[in-house]
Amino acid sequence: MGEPNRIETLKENLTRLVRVERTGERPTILTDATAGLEPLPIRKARALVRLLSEAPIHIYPEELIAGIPLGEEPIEAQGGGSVDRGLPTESVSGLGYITKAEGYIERGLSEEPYDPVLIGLQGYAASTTYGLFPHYATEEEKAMARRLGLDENSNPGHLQAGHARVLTHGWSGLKATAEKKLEALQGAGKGSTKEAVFLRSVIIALEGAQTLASRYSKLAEEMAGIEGDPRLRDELREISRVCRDVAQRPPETFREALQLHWFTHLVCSTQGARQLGRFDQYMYPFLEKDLEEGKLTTEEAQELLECLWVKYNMVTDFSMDNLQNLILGGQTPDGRDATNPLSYMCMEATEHLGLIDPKWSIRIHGETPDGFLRKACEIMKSGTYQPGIYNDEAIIPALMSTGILAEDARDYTNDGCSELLVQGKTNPWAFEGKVLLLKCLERAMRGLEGYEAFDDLMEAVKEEISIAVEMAVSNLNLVQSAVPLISPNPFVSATVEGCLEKMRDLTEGGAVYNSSAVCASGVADTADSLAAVKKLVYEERRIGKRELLDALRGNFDGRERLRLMLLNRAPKFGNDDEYVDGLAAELVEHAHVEVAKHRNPWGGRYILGLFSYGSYIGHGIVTGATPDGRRAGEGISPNFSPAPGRDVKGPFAVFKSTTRVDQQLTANGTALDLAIHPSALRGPGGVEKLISLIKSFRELGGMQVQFNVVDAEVLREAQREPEKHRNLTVRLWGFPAYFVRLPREFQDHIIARTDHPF
Amino acid sequence: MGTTAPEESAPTGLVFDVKHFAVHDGPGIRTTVFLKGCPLRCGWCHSPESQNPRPEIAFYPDLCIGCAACVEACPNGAQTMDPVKIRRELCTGCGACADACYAGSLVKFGDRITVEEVIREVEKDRLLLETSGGGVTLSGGEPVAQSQFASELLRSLKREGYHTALDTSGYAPWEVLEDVARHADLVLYDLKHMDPRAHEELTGAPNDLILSNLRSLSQQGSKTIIVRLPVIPGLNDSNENIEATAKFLGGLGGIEAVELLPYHNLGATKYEALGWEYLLSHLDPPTGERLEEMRGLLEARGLRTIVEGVD
Repeated sequence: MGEPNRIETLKENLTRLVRVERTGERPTILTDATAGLEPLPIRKARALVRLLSEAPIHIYPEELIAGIPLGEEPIEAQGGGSVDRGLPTESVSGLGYITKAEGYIERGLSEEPYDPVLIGLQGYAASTTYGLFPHYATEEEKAMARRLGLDENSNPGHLQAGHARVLTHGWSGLKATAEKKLEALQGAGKGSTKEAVFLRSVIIALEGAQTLASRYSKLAEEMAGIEGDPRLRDELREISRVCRDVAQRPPETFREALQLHWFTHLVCSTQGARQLGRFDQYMYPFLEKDLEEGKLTTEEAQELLECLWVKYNMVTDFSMDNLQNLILGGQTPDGRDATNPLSYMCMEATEHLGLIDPKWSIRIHGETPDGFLRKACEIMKSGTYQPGIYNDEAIIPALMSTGILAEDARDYTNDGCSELLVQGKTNPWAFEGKVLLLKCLERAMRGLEGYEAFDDLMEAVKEEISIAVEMAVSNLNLVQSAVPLISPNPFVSATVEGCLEKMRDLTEGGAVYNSSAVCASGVADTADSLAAVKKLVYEERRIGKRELLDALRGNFDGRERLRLMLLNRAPKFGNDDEYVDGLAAELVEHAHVEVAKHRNPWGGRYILGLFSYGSYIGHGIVTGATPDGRRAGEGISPNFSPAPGRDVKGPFAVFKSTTRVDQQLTANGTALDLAIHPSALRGPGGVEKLISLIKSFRELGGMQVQFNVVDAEVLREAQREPEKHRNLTVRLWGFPAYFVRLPREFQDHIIARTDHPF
Repeated sequence: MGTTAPEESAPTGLVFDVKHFAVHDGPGIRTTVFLKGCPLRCGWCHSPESQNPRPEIAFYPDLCIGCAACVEACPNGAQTMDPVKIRRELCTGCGACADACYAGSLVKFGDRITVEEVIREVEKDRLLLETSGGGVTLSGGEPVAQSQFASELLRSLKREGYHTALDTSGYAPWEVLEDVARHADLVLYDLKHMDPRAHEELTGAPNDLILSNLRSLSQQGSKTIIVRLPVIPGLNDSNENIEATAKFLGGLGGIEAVELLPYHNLGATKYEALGWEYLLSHLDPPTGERLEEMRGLLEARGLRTIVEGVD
């Protein structure tokens, strides 16, 4: 069927939603008669219930899936008008990376070779529920947390809820499991144990979600009562029924599954978990059944899906890093190709709507259908959206090498960006630990005059890396231990496998897998620097040690010729040159060995990732001039990519360089960003060329790659006239974003990377 | 460095670039080897550095940092700082200045390399070339002008299992062209003008050899031939010339396709860098409609036509 104008109306609705303007104090539940004396997890759950019972709710015209983000309200409530969410305003999360680095310099932290402050955990400031989520911790609890930079909403970033599990059991089923376990404990006289407290917190949190769904059911019923148009009246009654039913039982139809998923996502979004996992896998059984039973046509299903797709775009941090990532295709847990009709429908929805959320990526392996890869490449080529590409054949064995079972490893997903995790079974801590390789080099270089041979320098760099890893891990372990004391997570715990089974909160090691990660930035710049010193100082003796140190200290002032020698007369990572690629491989191997030595507080392993995220600007700000010819303060290489503009031999040479680094050592993931000029993909053969590139990447054993098919000239034009380019998207560290909404520093960095495209 | 290659059993070639991820020089993704030296002098040539059959130095003033290292490096006193320029009459193209120029302001075009060196460079791309159904293209300059090297290189590439393409102007004695083309799976054959006098005016050489070679090549029937027509507004894009071309090609048979290469002036800065004058700066690229009209004329003769940048 499908209403011809429904989607347009829904898109229009996006301009009519704003964050709740709240003046005065945040509410509190500590004054409630019964709440004040309860254990922390119960108070957290009650605070969530309060939010879910009181936050504004609204159903827009023509909607089939109901629910606005918690902490937002329709603009009508604030006097009407509309908000242009496509306007070029600077993104908060992008700027954060810059102000953070500047703060380090002010506070004397800029010499640290690891990231000492985990701002990613301060959830409220970036949350739509800021100012609405009630206080639930005592002053003592809060004071203690503050010492580690934590607050009441400090959730690990890049957390993922178990969406599949929710659809299988429903909130009601999860609640019933918790109730049964609680009864058993109470029966055994263990009703006040920590486990019992956890189970109670889960039950309360799930009831909160049921309350939210019931409020929507009631609202829809009321709206139907006064609706004059019979079609809309029927649709509202159906919304009411679906909301009422999914509150109390597992979903039975595609539409019910979408609605329950959306409510779950809204609640999880307030608890730090916005990742969406393998949407096409957990949602398809519902679609398949409806189609088989003739309850739904493909066209109706597409409309329902697009109704949900528009919804994701209501999340306020709309411009950038809102972590709403899902992944399509890949393998089933038993190793077959997992691509299904819904995988294609998801891509079509994005293509049709032209909206940036939800972010999605694709998984590929030897049996990936050509049509699936082709569809993704066509979208990439058009420049409207840039999915990340994940290679199962590299990723699955890498995950298994960290102790993950094969069937779980095959069920991996990316998280908020490009980190890898087993969906619905993991408490990832994939993002917070950070080591700055280039900073390690900078510190080691201070002793250059004492190093007789190049190997001595290499050893000194490795020593710095070892220390940096140790520091990052100690810091992160301290924080991980402290999070359950301030911010337990009962709702997300209910969804993640292992927590109910072990009767333990996610933040306390409840999940099946409890890995933590250290992410290393600056692989390319560090290898480039080492190669330059090795060749020009130690082998060819064209530069003296003292001369180099003086030049670096003086930021190459008056030494431009020396800088250009370092830049242009030594091999650079990304050009299929073993000389420098081998150094990169050695660095990563050492980092891996060091990282793998450590365990987190829950006994989980530490694993290595190669990510800078947006810190390729910030890590540059805190790092002085380096022997690769980079001036002080200039941005570094993004993620696992070559340094901007230094890869001159085409994308395949970049693949060769990156795959000289053992991808099995980076089980937390890598991200390789490549720019391709649109002219290289012109004509009907263009898509074939992109497909070939991706297949060759897979055959080389690369882990993850993402393409920006964009002309630097167009980006410059967009800087000059942003209003004409508001829909121009570029891929950042793990997700696409609207170019004109990025801070200028990020725009310039992307242009530098795009200026020498292939 | 000598100015002429010594006669050896393993021939060397004068190569000015090896382009990885080339996407417009034949099917799939290719690695294109550019040989230096060309007997023609087409005014629109977008790689003027390809023309002289000896190494030469380009100068990009924007990149110069004024360090004067080139002045010190040059054995012939060809570099001066006041003003910053190359005294071309003294330059032997030895490249000492470019070696000393870390800024990349001075660039040497043309290195003598062996077939093995080229094969080693191409080998790096093998997986991508095979995955994409691509291969290796010899371009120039005019590869056939270095016939011994070109022939040996193509033969070696074939032996290594690569798909090979030869991009040629066809301006060479038939026996020489035949010897080189023997090892190519595909020939990209440039045709600039049908009228002998106009051809000579535009390229410095008559077209009789080019046309007869193309006829001979097509009669062999042993390889794929794509004829490429540079479309230079006002110089060779008249209906008359296109119709004459269509008639000639239509009569040959065995032509896989005709490709129209619209004029662009992206090579203009290179002329300046080589100290040459670029005479066509007043030209605009042909319009899309004009290209479609030309396509119509060619297709009327049964010639499958590709427009670069459109198809």
